[in-house]
Amino acid sequence: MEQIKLKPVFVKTRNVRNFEVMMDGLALSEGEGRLGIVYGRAGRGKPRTSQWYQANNGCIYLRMITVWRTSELYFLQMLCREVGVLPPYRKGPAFTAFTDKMRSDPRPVFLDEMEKLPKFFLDLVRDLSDESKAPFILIGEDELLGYMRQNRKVWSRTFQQLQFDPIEIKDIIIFATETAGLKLTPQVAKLFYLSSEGDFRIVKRDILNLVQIANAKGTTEVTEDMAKIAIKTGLAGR
Amino acid sequence: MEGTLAGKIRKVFLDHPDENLQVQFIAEELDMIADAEKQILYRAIKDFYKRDEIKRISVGVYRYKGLGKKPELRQIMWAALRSKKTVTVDYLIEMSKAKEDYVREWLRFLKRRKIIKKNSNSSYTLINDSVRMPVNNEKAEKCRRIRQKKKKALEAIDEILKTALDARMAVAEMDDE
Repeated sequence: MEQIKLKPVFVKTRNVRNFEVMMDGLALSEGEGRLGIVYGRAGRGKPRTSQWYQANNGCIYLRMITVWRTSELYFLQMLCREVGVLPPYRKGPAFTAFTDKMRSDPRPVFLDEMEKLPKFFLDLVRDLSDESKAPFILIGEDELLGYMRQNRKVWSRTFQQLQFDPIEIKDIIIFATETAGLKLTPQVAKLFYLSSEGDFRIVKRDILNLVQIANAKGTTEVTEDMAKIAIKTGLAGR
Repeated sequence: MEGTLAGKIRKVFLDHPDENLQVQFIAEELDMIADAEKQILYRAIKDFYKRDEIKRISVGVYRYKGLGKKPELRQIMWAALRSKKTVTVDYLIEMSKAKEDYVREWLRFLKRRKIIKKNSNSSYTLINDSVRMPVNNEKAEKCRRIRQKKKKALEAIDEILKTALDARMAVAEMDDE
């Protein structure tokens, strides 16, 4: 039997499909400042999906850094850099430089781990979106939704919200088929689903273990026992 | 591109940005008045619509949207590298659907340019972020050099053939005499 290999494939799970629908929705209100929010627990594939989307659609992606907490200047300078503008050394000029550049080419901007920064940054993001007419999509964990809801002006401009749900059994079956060519029964997929609690990273790790077991046994038929061993191998490393 | 019918139609649209244009107007601009010519124009407009380059406002009225250019594989990989900073070959394949050989070749080029460094675990880290995608001219330069050499070689062969032909003619003339 030929060795099974895990192919690097970006699998369009339900969350990814919802993400695309959300982006299409944001595109409908072209010409005005608007925000989107993508939230959910860690391990659901939020950054991965936004990185994939931005790379394939020429958007801007910025991961928030903790040291920016003290000043908006670094944040604005990084945004300027992303759009190819020499970053000014003061906040006002940096804000203007970025919005001026974006107005001619209003691309979606993804801000990942937004909840790391103080709440007043939300007002800055709102201003940036209003002035540049570009959609800003804030990505973060569950508490980000609370921050945005508290700020009425921000919330009224939030046109789209998307919660990243736990990965589904159906997604696990598709993932195993597309990446490893292994056909999982719903019962086997359910084992992975229950042990991972819907965490995509854990599912990936367990499928990788499963591939190794399948190769060792020289079979592509996945049994529940093989799945249990794969899950147990993963748990041992936790 | 402007020489083609599609290029001419595109020019008419671009000369009237943000305007709704009637097909009749485009036909007049392009001096395509005869019915047979208009049929060709209608087909071309239909192609524009099919590839989502124009927006249909009403019957026979269109507005230019522009070519929704899909980024090149290199651009997708560059954006993925910049967003994640440290990547593996598999990650770039996953993001861009590029072939493994192509990804490896592109990474080698970035490494030569000292834009990335290879880590001990076979991953690559962006160490010199130029924001703009670095362009690989090395291959194009190599192809240009090969083309020039080929041209010179062909010229030399032509010269030899011409000399041989002249010599043959001369011999033929000698025989005639």
